[in-house]
Parts: sequence; structure tokens; C-alpha cells
Amino acid sequence: MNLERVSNEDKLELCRKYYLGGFALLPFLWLVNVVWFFREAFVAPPYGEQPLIRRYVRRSALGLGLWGVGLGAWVGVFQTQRAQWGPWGDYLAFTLPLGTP
Amino acid sequence: MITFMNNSDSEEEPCNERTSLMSAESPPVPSYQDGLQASGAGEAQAHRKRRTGSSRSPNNTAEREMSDSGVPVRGSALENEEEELTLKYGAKHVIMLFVPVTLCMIVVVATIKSVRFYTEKNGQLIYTPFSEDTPSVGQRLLNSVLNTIIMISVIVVMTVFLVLLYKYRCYKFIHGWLILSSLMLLFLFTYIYLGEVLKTYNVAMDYPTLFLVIWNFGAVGMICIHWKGPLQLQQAYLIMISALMALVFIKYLPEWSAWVILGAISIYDLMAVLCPKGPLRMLVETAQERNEPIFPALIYSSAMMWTVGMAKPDTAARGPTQQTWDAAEDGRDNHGSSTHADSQMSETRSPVPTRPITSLEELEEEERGVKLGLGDFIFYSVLVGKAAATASGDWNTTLACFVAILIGLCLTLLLLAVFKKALPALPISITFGLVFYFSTDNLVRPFMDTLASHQLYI
Repeated sequence: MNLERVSNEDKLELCRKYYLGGFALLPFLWLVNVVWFFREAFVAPPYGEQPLIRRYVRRSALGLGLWGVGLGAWVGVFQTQRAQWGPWGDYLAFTLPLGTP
Repeated sequence: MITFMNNSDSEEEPCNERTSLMSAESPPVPSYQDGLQASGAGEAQAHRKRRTGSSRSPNNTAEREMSDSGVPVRGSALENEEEELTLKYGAKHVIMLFVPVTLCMIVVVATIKSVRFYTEKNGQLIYTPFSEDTPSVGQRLLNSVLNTIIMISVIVVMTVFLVLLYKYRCYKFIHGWLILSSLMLLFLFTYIYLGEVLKTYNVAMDYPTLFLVIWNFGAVGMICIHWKGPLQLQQAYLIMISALMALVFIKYLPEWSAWVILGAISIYDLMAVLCPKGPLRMLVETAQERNEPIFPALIYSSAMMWTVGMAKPDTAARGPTQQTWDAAEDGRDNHGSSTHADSQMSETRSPVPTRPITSLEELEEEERGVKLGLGDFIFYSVLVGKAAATASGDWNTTLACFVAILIGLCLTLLLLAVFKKALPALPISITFGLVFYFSTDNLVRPFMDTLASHQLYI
């Protein structure tokens, strides 16, 4: 889908839907929203719906940042502390590395 | 299937119909003729999707449709220019298709070479019930031929079923089927793939992160493929699901059966697209009659056709201007999507009588893309992946097959430019691929090995 062919209202609607969709545990959707609409929101010459699009892109970026921090923290903790956790570590693990750590 | 459909009504102008790919700098043209391009589609994969490693029904056709534009009062110079444009854009389209096909093959070959899971024999699909573990060569050959017959008949039945559904307008059923297929591909197969890759690289992964990753990947994939999303992301998802499907085929099809199936599917593709009663051809024609695009989720499209709107929104005097463009619609589900490449041009028709040629009210830029069905991607990747997995010649054979497939694709697109109708994309490429595989494996490789061992460089 090419954003250039789409009307401004449709762009706003799309940006908004992507923003709302990201709340369903979908930070990737927020990432797509930010990357895809970045030019529309910040680089393109101003038009009517641009402030709203800008708002959605900013909020998506904020949500993405929060998710990134949270996920990074969890993965860091898990990878380093998994061996010390005993049985819980094994329950949580999907794949276990073989061999001695 | 590559189809080129041209429905143009010639206008009063004394211009001849030509198919030309419009460049972005094309001069404003007052009237266009509609060209319909419908590419056909899909195959029944849904059935297959429910089982892992379902086979695909092949309907691979590359379609390219070119629209004609009528340009008033130009001389033969314009014709030459347009022919040149055609060739130039034909070349551009070839490149546009090389990249995704290459990417898909790279993903498949990289996985095959590194993750051992996909080369281990762990059973077979129910579509290939005959085992190849027999002592005698004749028996093995017979078993593989029987397997092929069963597989191809499943594919034919599924394709005919799909065409019937389409003909009787059971769109909801088809959409549900496609959605179910892509769900399975995007979630289940990705889960398996990720698990195997992690095991290969000995990386620990916890369930919550895994769930999050798979959920994000799958949900965004469904959105991009079946709804609206950025073009590059959609293309990337289509490539990934084609690669996943090809990997499943490589794993679950027994050795000899795989090669015979590849050959048989190219023949089937040829017949299904070119014969008057072929299911794919009927699908394309029905879609064209109804002026609808073929299902999303079955076709890879390399570019979007888009049209810059009219400078003056003076629609009242203009009459209906219709733009139909086929956005790179989604990829196809695993199941037999017919592969076709078609490029669609959106055309706008402006009422000729009321518009003087010199008025520049309408500036249209159209960029055509070429569409290739996902089934083509899958079978190309199966061929190259099998070559990588089983050839004794290592990279020699793999590269030879890769080059063969690309050459075949070039030729197919060339034929598309010449014939301008739906064409099957599998036969030429697969034929070249098979020939190159067997000859490289059995002739070239021993030759190269002997040369190398004797330190003789040619």
C-alpha cells in the first residue's frame, strides 16, 4: 500500500488504527506505525490531519520505548539468572542450551 | 500464471493499441483505454494447511498486464518509443522479481545448510503415502510416481474446488480458507522454525518472550497481508511464508518423489494456465469478467500501481474515472496459490469528447509492477533447497540451480512481454533447474573434483 495514493483522512484513520492495535500486546505494530508514518508526520509539508498523525506517532514511539525497556530488562534478567533459578528457570524456558555454561 | 488482459475499446482517435508501461514522466494523455488484468489464483491450500507440509497446488502463472494507452496523433516515432519503454520496463520488472525470488531462496538455503531439522527424515505427509525405503530401484521409482500422482490429483481437486467456489461467488468461504491458511503458516510454522533455529544455535529462550515474539510476528503479518500495511513489509512477509512453506515441503517430501513432483507440477501448471478449460485460466477469465482483482494473499506484487489524481477535481464534467489498481496484495497462503505474476495498471478513462488534448488537467503517473504467485516462489525454493540438501556437489549444484531458475524467470517474463497474457511461471524455470541439477550433480561435479585433485585449472 502506497501512502501517496491515499487521502489524508484515510491516512489518519490508518495511523489511528495501528496505534490502537498496538495496545493488544503488539509493540511491533507500534514500530511499524512509527516507521511508516514518520515521514508523513514530521517531514511532509503540513496539512490538516498532520498534528493528529504526529500525536499518534509520538505516542506509538513512547509505547514502543516502554516495551523495549521492559522486554530488554526481562530478557537480560532471564538470560543471566536462569541457571540460578532452579526449577522455575526450566519451566519458563522454551529451549535450553546444552552443555555446561 | 502470467496473464495479460487487454480490454480496450478503441476510441475515436486514430491511435493503435499498444501496451506500454508508462513511465513516471509520461506526458499527460487525454484518454486511456482500460486494460483489465486479472490474475488468477489461488489454489487450494487450505486443506493442506491443516496438515503440516501440505502441498501446494500449483497455479503458478506470472501475469503481467499491460494497459494500453491510446495516444492521439503521434507518429511511428512514438511507437518506437513505446516499444522501447516496454522493453525497458520489462527489464525493470525482471529485476523487481529477481530480488524477492533470490531472497526467498537464500533464506531456504541458509536454513537448510544450518538447521539440521529440515534435512532429517521424520515421516511423510499423507499425500505421499508410499515409502521410498524399498530395496529395488524399480520399486522406488514406482512408489515415487504413485506419490506424485496422488499429490497432483489432490492439487487438481483443490484447484477445481477453488475455481468452483469463485465461480459461485462463495467469497466468504474463500476468504475464511485463506485466513486460516495464513494463520497456520504465520503462527504454527514460525513457532516450529524458531524452535529449531534456537536449538541449532544453542540459545536459551523463555516462554513469555517467545509468545510475545510469535504473537507480534503473526499478528502484524496477518494485518499486512490481509488488510493494509506498508508494501515492503508485506513483500517481506510473503517471502517469509513462502520460505517456510518450501522448508516444510523439503522436509516432508521423500527424495525421488520431490523431483518427480516438481516435474509433474510444471506440466500441470502449463496445462492449467494455457488450456482453454484449465482451472486457472477459467479463474483468471472469471475475475476479468467481473473486473475484480484476484484474491489477496495469493500473489506477490512488486510495486503498486498508483495514479496521481487529477489536478482539478472536476469530476462532474469528466465522467467516471476509475482507478483500479491492484495493490500488492497479500501473499498467498500456503496452499496452492496459483502463482501468477501480473502487473496491473490502473487506468483511468477520461471522456474523450469533452476533453481537448491540450488541457493538462489530468496528469497520470502509473507505475506498474509485476505480480508473481506465491506458488512459484515456493517451488523455486523447493528446487534450490533440495539441491542444497541432497547434492553431493555442495555449492556447485546449488548455484547452478539458482542460476537456472533465474534464467527461466527471465525467459518467462520475456514471453509475457511478447504474448501479453497469463503465462505459467513454473515450467521453464523448473525444467532448467532440473536439467541443471542432474547434469551438474552427475557430470560437472565429478569433472571439477577430478580437475581440482589433479591441480589442473581451466
